[in-house]
Amino acid sequence: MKDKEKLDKEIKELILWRLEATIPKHFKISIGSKGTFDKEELKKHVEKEDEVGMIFVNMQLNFIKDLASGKISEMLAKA
Amino acid sequence: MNSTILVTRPNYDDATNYLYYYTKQVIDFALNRNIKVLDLIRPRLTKENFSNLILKNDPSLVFFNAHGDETKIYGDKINNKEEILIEENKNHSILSKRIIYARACWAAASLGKRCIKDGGCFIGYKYPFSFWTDDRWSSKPLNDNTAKLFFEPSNLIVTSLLKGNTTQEAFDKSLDISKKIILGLLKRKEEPGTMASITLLWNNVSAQEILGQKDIKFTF
Repeated sequence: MKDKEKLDKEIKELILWRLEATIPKHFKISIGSKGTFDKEELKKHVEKEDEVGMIFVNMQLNFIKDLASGKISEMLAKA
Repeated sequence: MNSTILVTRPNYDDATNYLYYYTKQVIDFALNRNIKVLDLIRPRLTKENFSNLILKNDPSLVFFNAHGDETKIYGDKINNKEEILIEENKNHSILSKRIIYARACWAAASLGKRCIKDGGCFIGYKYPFSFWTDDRWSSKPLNDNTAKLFFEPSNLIVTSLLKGNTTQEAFDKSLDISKKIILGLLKRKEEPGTMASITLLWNNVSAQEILGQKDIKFTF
C-alpha cells in the first residue's frame, strides 16, 4: 500500500486493534531514521495515516497477508 | 583485497545506540579470531576517514550499522546533521567487489544493486530493518531480551562470514535462525509482546536481500 493512499476504515480498525492487543506498554519500535515509538505514539501515527503510521500499517499487512496465504507456515515448516 | 573488516558504529539516537552495542559482539568475535577490525566510531566516523580507510586497507568486508534509505547509507551525526557515507551515483563504486552487509533501512532497494554491478555481494534490506526494544532495559541494551531476538539473526550474517561461510550460506543461516526464533516464540504466544515480535521478525525476513555474488567468502 502506498503511503498517500487513503487507508480503508476496516483495515485501520484492524491495525489499531492489533496494536492495542499485541504491544505491551514498555515496548518501543525502532524504525530506522524515522525514530523510536511507543504504543501510544504509534496509535497517533496510524490514526493520522502519516509516514510512520503507514510504515507500521504496511508491516502489519505484510504479515497478515503472508500468514493468510500460507507463506509463513510453508517457510517455518522448512526450518 | 585484504582479510579485514571495516565496521561503522554511530551512536546518536535510540536505534544507533542499540546497533552500537550489539555490533561490539561481532567485533569481539572477529578479534578473538585475530581478524583485523577497523572499528569506526565517533570521532573517527567521518566520510573522509571512511573513504581513506577503504583506499588504504582495502577491506574485503564492510559492515554498516546505520540509518539508510534507498540510495544512501549514513554515518555519524556531525554538527546536528547526519553525514552521508555512501551515496548512489556519487561514491558507491568504492564498495565494488567487496562483501557488504548493511544493517540499515532500505539500502538493498537500489543502492545495493549499484554496488555489485562490477562484482561483490551486498546483503541488506529492501524495506526498513526494524526491531522492538523493552524500555525497561534501554540503559543496558545487551540485557534486553526483546531486542536480542532481532540482533542475533543479523549478527549471524557477519559471524558466519568470518567463520568462512559463503555469502549465500551466511544469508541462509541468518534466515534459518530467524525462523527458529519465530517457532520458539509461537510456543509461548500467550506471553505479552510475542506476536508483536513475530510480526516484526517476519518483516525483517521478508526485507532481507542478497545481491550479486553468492559464492564468495571473506578470506583469511
